[in-house]
Amino acid sequence: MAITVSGIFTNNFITFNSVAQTPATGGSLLLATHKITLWVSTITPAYDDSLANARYGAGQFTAGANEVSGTGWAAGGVLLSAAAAGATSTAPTLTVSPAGTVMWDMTDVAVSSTTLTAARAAMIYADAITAPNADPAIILINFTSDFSTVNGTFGIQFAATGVATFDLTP
Amino acid sequence: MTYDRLNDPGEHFPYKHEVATALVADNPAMGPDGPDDDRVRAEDFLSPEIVERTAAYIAAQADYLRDPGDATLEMQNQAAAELVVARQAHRANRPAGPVVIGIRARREGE
Repeated sequence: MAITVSGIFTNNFITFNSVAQTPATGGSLLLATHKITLWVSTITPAYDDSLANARYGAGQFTAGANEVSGTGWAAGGVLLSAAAAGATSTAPTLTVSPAGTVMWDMTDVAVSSTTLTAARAAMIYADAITAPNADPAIILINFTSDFSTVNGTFGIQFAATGVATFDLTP
Repeated sequence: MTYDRLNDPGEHFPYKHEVATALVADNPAMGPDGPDDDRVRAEDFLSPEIVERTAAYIAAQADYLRDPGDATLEMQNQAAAELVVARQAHRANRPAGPVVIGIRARREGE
């Protein structure tokens, strides 16, 4: 198995919208304390996985061989508050765009002076959450190819439709 | 939690406005293959409009966290909407999915 699609981690999404987490608002998609991590192609993300497994440091996201890190991009990821060009904030937003749709968006990721090998996907997790399971995964973005850098910028240029959209059209 | 965000070192308060403004003005090479790789430049990630709208959004967010209420929430939401408009203008000619800036591994036959 391998990465085949991008997706939201469903059980974590439910938890973000309950109070059964510490801190209660730690899953807000507006937080810039979330971290973005990089992963190799051979992991098999399970978007309906349990809270215990769908998180950084467990299951498919066990730090080590599966995680892509290197110069300029440490294991554990880069804060969204420092992942835009110039180590500035990606400033996550939630807006209605288009009508009936909630769009989660942020400024492009652009981390300079990195040396990384064969990143196939990015996973963003809620670093602020400590319980019931720390560091729950929010979303995985499939790059569909492996990408590397050599003392250069690793970037993700998002589409006009943002990072993800939630169609709530009545 | 909301008020604590303002003092959280992992958060984005205050926005690094001067850094972003200087970066956009200098527009350095930002390609994946070393500091001289100018196939991608800062302007491909940030526009002056995004920088200004981001500064306004983060300031409005801080105002709301300091003084939660209908008026400050409306200001934050308006600033977010204007930031999204600036991003969408910058991304007008992009494909439907994300584009990764990196050295793409060649597949067999390419």
